[in-house]
Amino acid sequence: MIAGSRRAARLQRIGFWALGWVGLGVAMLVWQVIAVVDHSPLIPTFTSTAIALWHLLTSSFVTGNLVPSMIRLVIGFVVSAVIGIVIGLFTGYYRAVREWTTAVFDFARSLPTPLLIPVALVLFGLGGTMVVVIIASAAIWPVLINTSNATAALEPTLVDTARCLGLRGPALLAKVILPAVSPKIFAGLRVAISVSLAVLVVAEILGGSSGIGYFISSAQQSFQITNSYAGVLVLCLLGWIADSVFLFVERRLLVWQRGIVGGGHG
Amino acid sequence: MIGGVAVAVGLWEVASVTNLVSSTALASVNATAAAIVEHAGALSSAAGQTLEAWAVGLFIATVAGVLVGTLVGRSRIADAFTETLVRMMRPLPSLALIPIAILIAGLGLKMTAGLVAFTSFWPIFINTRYGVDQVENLLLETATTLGLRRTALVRKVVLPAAAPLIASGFQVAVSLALSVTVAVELVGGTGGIGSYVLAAQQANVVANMYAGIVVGGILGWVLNTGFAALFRRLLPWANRREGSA
Amino acid sequence: MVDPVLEFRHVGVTLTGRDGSINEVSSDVSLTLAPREFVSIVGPSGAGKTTLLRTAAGLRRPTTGEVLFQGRPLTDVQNGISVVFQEYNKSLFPWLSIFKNVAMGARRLAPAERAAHVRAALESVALSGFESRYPWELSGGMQQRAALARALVSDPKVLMLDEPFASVDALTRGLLEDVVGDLWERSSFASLLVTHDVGEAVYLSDRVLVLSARPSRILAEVEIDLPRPRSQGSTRQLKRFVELEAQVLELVLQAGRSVAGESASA
Repeated sequence: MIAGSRRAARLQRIGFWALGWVGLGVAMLVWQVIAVVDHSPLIPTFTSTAIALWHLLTSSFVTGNLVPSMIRLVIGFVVSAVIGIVIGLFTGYYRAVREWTTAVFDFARSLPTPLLIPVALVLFGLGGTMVVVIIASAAIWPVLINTSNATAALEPTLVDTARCLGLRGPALLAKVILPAVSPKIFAGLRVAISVSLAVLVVAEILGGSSGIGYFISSAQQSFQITNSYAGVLVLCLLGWIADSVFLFVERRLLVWQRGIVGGGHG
Repeated sequence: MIGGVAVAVGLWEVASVTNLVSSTALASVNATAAAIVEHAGALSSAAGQTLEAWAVGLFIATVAGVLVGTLVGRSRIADAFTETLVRMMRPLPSLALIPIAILIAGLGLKMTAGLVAFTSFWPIFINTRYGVDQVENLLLETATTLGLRRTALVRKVVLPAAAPLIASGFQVAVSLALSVTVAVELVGGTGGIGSYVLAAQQANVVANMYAGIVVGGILGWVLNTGFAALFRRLLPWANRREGSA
Repeated sequence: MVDPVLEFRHVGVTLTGRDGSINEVSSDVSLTLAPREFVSIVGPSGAGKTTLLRTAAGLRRPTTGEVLFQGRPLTDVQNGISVVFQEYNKSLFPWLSIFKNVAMGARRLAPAERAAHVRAALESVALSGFESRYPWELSGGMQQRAALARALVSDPKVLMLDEPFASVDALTRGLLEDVVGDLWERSSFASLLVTHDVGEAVYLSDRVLVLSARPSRILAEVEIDLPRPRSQGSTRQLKRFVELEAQVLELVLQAGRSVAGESASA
């Protein structure tokens, strides 16, 4: 009885999962139909874009553009994550610090980051450093704000308990505060990944001499439209892979959280 | 709070006066303030242009996002059907579409607003879908016993119950839309604050560049805090969740 | 007379609110807790019972007067004082298994002895076999027993209990009271219980202290001369128990009436 309903639930889950891929297939089909019907040089068919994508992934595009972009992405993301978590814990834990920094941080995170690209261009010139700086200065905010809010909202009983157990200083931080706020930190990191990817592209379009953004933009300027589309697909895949890896790591690290939020969604 | 702002402005001034950051990259506080006053006309018309593309794009995204989100959120099949697509599209940096959008729609409001709409659609759609899906069954059953059906049920119960989540998706979209608008202006040179800052950089007028950045920051800050305050007034039941959690 | 293990000398606590408002919680509280003694503090809600207990645990310093632990001024959390809070769901670390939660209380022991002590503590609260479970997999009563095991694993001199049974149902509460009573009979710690449940205070204690309304002081002290060992079935039937409960209840109600009169105007 129970085994049967469990099996039914599993079948249903697989069904929904398959339906998701069917949905993706339908979207590709719609693209194909539009491209064939419209017959415009500005909208290549899905099939020709997929072929171009395959050619890209087996060419020097990988070492010349894909790898540099990924390195910038990882460095920028890690820098923003580390700085964001450290400052966030600090401002979250000390109310006085928080009160002094709120207005400045509110302004800084409201500032549309792409506006800083010209400044970064003056300071660092064209190339990788400038891209990394822009990524870090955009991706830091979701991490910092989430960490700070979660730390400030820590259950006082939890901190009291830890103190009574003799935890203080770094041990209190590492064994209690960090695990307690880690779900919120992860939520912030997940946002930071997509932010990183987004500003990576703009920064590379405006000031890169290599990278996916640079590739998409220069393909467009030399009227290799299909390559431009293929570049966008590369980013799609990259974003999807990053997000999936992230969810996987999060699920493994935060097993304990599932019971509290009750199953979890999505 | 004001103290913090004063310290930050002070640090900026110190960095510029001591040449810690070269004067080709950093204008002093005074020079920036002077540039804002001197070019108030050009800056406000640039800000106006940015705001226009921002508003048009965000409006389209909100209508589409809430509509589609509600439809998908009410049906498990539709939800599953769009799941993978959404997971691939959501992290897609729509800014990568700028070169393609320029080709298809040309340089102008249509292209900028379209791209803004495309980007801002996702957070609004995802939060609406999730919010509608999360409405308590008990609430729906109660409403049904009170005689509410279909559209009335959605309008009077489902959407108000999902409103806090929709609002937070909208607030994400507010700042996202501004970033996209500015990015398109930078890349396409279509006017607005983005183009203003890039032009100032290319002409090596550092003070004007910082004037544009400060105006852009103020714009973002006003929009963010303004909408946050608005939602606090409109949705007083939104904070209850956090309070009781 | 033996030296008290814990002593309050004219302790006053004043809280300063965020807006600078000053709130005098207690004005002049003096009390002693002898080794192996079980003392309860009861009082109307809002009398600052929890604040007093946090002061006794070293989590906050008194504004006036002093707290002595084993004859020395208590200035911080202290080895030898354990606390069990009311909200077990907030005081157990949700990311740690039951075993690791209890092991947090045994951090001062040598690593080699730790496992044995943790197992013994879990056994003393009848939680053997649940070592690898997460807190949220256990019922409320079991979680509170785990919190109790964590407090006792370090073999404290004083066990502080802050409304420890307020979040569980009546039946579980009775069982938990007996768990605490039995552990106290078998071990050598003194216990300070803060509660609003008069019957519970009378049932467990050697002495019950009645707190006045804010700013609180000790209004009355009632000696509980019921025979030990006690049990839910027989002790609560005794005529003497009923008399003592009525006496303490009358004192608490008196104190509460003055609070109600004040807070109605506030």
